[in-house]
Amino acid sequence: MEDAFKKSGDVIFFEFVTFSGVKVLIVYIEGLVNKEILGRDIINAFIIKSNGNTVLFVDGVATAFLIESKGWEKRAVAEPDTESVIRGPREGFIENIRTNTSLLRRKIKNPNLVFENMSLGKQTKTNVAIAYIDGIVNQAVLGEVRRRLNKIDTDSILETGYIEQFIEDSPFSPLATIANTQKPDILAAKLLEGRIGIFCDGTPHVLTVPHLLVETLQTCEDYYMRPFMAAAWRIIRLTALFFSIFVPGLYVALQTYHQEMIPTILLLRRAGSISDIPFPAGAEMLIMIVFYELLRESGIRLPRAVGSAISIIGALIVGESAVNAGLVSAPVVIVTAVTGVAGFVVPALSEAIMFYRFLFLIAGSVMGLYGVVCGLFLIVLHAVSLRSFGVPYTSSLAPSDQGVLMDFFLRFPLWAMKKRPPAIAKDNQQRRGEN
Amino acid sequence: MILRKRMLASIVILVLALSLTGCWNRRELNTLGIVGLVGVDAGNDGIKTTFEIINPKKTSKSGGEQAEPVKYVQANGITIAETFRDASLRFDRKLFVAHAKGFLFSEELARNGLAEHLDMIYATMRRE
Repeated sequence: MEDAFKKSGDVIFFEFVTFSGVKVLIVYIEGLVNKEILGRDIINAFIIKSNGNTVLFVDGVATAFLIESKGWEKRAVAEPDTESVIRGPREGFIENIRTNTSLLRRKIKNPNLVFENMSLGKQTKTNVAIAYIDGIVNQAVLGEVRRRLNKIDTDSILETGYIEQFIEDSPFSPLATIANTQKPDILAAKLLEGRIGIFCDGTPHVLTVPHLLVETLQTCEDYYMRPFMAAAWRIIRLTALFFSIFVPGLYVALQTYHQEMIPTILLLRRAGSISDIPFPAGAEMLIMIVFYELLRESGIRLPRAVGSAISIIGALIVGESAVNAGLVSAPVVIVTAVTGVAGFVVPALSEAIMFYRFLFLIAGSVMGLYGVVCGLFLIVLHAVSLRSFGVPYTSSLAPSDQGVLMDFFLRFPLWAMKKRPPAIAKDNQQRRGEN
Repeated sequence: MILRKRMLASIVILVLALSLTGCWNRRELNTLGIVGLVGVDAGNDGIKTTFEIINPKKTSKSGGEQAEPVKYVQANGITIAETFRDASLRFDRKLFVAHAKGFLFSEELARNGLAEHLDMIYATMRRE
């Protein structure tokens, strides 16, 4: 048993010899046992039963255990605000690393699930754990994760974001090469595909590497619902991604450079609605999008009670008054709204979407469609050149494999997906039998 | 380090080169006169062209009710291309003929052959 679990930091072996010479070995998984019961009842009972004189010894052991279990307050396991689902488990990670590892251990009841503990931060001595499934994980990636974590030399690690910034591949890229999640079921699924999780004490966010483009389009619910609907949602998500990045830039490009491409009636409508607008189309759009980002940011920071007031003011003033006052035209408000709504469909990419939206808006308003296409080339070139811990960021699309069809644009039935993503689980790709 | 410098330099060059074109051919929608129909007549010294310019306000719901739905601008010149240039002196917006529904030619012109005029129209529109 010790061999099977010896790599894992959350399995505790506690061995002692009682005065009567009986060797006792207590094994438990941290986070999954009630330590009060363990300390008070089992160990006490054991020792008192075997030797009544060893009060000091008994006290020492029991106290040590009790102190550990009562040392800190912790939040109850609750549903995270982000990553909410309609179907699927509601539980989310909390700030306590041991609770988090035990939540994962409850999903994967297998000695191959390994936690490697380490302590990072010269001042904070934060507990960090690498989680992976031995036999599925790609050893090269695992070695790289270990190497990068060990190279971190800083005084404090307060959140996984600190770790992420120290170990990510391309710190200046708008595309993140490390993912994070707050949900044990998502983490379990990612580990089972061959990824590696990085827990950090004090935060409910757990990092997963390597992070690929395809993951940003996947949600855990895709796998809990029937494949038809899941595939439809994938396509909707791709459309939303396209909308939220390109629509403002395309709108401005078409309206200021390529009026020939707009249907006549639509062109006349638009010409009518913008005839009194004092700003050029590009500036108008820029103002609206900046205003939208402002509203969004304030919505996150504001106290909940004020939030609804702000959204009413934002919606009314921007949506109605600005149009009536002739500051912006109605189509621009519509485009901003569509863009904003679509941006929430792919939350994992929200930072990149925001950046690229501005990029395409500026390219579109300075160089028209030519600029938009140039921008597209730039971001595609950048995306295909990215790597996450040695794995190409756009894996399964480029370099391509059957996963493009199986689990990218569509989501095949679970029984059809016999292999794990080959880019991630290099050596052990077989997920289920051939029948 | 050298590689990074080179990459940075090439990016800067690329951005500068691309922006050299500036906002070439940028036309704000409210500086355009959208032409619905073009009439070509024989004039006193060559050709007289009439442009029917659609008033976009009339097509949107919030637009002024009293405004005329279309506006006519007449221009003279020896060739059609010249009348286009002449029209820009007589109207405050740039004429935009890409959405024109058609060109009407008078019988007098048509009897003398349209090939020359059609050539001119193609050439003008392609340049636009």
